[in-house]
Amino acid sequence: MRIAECDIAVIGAGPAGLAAAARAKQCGACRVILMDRDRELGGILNQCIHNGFGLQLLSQELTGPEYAEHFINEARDAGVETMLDTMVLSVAPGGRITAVNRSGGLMRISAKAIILAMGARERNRGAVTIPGMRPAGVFTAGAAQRFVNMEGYMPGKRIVVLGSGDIGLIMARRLTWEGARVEAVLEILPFPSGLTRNIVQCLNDQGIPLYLGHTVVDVHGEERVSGVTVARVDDSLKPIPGTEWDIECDTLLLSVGLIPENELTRDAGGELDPVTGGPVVTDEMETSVPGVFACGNVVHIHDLVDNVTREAWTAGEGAARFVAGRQPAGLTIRTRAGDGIRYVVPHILHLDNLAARDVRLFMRATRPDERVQVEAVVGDQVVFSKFERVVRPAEMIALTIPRGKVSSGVAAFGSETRLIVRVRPRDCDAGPKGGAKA
Amino acid sequence: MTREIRELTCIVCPVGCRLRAAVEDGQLLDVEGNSCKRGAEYAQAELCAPKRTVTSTVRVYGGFLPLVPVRTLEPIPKHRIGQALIEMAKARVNAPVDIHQVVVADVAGTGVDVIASRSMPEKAG
Ligand SMILES: Cc1cc2nc3c(=O)[nH]c(=O)nc-3n(C[C@H](O)[C@H](O)[C@H](O)COP(=O)(O)OP(=O)(O)OC[C@H]3O[C@@H](n4cnc5c(N)ncnc54)[C@H](O)[C@@H]3O)c2cc1C
Repeated sequence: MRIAECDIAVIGAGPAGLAAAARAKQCGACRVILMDRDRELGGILNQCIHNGFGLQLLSQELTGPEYAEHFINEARDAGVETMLDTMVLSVAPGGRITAVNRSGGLMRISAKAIILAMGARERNRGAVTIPGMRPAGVFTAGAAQRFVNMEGYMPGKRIVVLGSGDIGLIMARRLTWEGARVEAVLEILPFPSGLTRNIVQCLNDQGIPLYLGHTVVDVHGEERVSGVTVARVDDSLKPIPGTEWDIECDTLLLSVGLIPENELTRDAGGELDPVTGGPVVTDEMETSVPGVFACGNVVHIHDLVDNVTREAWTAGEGAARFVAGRQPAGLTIRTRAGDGIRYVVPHILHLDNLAARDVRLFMRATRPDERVQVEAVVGDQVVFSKFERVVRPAEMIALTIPRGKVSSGVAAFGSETRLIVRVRPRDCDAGPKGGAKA
Repeated sequence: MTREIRELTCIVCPVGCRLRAAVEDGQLLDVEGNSCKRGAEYAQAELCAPKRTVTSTVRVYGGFLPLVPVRTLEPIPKHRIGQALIEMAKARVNAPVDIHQVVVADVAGTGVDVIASRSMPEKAG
């Protein structure tokens, strides 16, 4: 069996793995190996040919492949070694990785630190259990995206999309532009789960109807999909009898969300957060297994790649510090999602880090809201607060706690103290530019 | 004089700012809610001459992959999108392709070029 040794092994070469590997190398790690099961670097970005990437970090609006190429070049220039067509099979606690590829067969790679960047996979039909026949013509939106944008095949001519996730919205426009007819997009929730800009440019621009509070209750067809039955749902998301109607179509695309890909994390013994589906991490992006770091969609689902890259830099720096034996010690405080917030990442903050640098928290709102304060609270003290005109579950919120805002005095509150992030309605008169809305 | 407030969602970037544009006799007077100056420009364009960046793919001869993704270098008028897509569908390029290489010049008579959005090496062997 081939055996390799390195300072840091990075699993997954999407934007998370690329940026983490490059940053670790730039921070002084010696040998950094980046592995991916795919035939090229870049991860999901290679199939995301639409524009909308990099505006925050690169100040340009790029397509997915362009964003990927930027960071592929950076990783290469930094001296990161890459292994493609390489599937990682397991990660044992202690840093032993087992992987397999065609040229090397079964391999063992031992690393002083590991960065998990395996991304996410799509929820499929099984995961949402649609009743009805099992004809051909039911695809996940991401699989369709890969067919159309990378292989050059159309999945069908008359399409219904279930779920208003971004991939489904983007694909509704893409398929329309390629000559297909998208009959409808159905969303079971009362609000869209994709970004507003995608509703505007992908549905409204193309005249594709979006039915909120609707779902597919039946799939018809013998060999190939011939249509679906849809129905309105009630408050508990159950279909309302009598509201059904049929839509003729040859293809049903599912855009019903992503699930962080954490088999390897579990293998390694990492604790998972049941809400995000990803590992519990510190502000260094370290999991509960010392020396095992994580970043990107494997930790929680991101809607902006810029935030993936930022998170990956933190993981890369953290892993390099770990290898150099300079990781922060001392007391930590846990974060917790308060009112109006579904989850907060990272889960654990070092008081030393809070004193020494700005610490960025990522979170999602539980429900859509307007004109609110998002605030971080320790005990009865608001340590930081930020005005948001609009919060939506589809759009991740970033809250950067400036250094020094959480004093080391909180240690005196004891180990049960939490840093709670919550959404509070803003007092009516306090908005910028005088609130016209009552 | 008719003065009205139009609500728009800025689509310049994924942040999706909600804009309130004050319009009088077809002229944009004021924009609120944008967090960068591109939002004000967007409101101006969207109300007078809407434009979109168009992304698609073009067939490659002898490439590592059969398609190369492309985009318009700048947004083009919305009513030219159909013609632009037809021209992109007909276009062919030979590998290797450089990132940002012009694949279709002056697409649909808009004066805007369509460029490759990644590099595409030749097929090995
Ligand atoms: C369809 C779609 C549209 C999007 N649109 C936008 C947009 O307009 N703007 C924006 O900013 N963001 C957008 N995003 C979000 C952003 O692109 C993603 O959040 C980001 O790409 C996630 O990066 P990642 O590196 O975590 O995961 P990925 O890119 O998924 O990379 C994970 C990699 O890990 C590899 N891997 C997994 N398991 C293993 C294993 N066991 N062994 C070896 N390799 C493994 C996979 O092959 C893959 O290459 C979009 C996302 C999607 C899916």
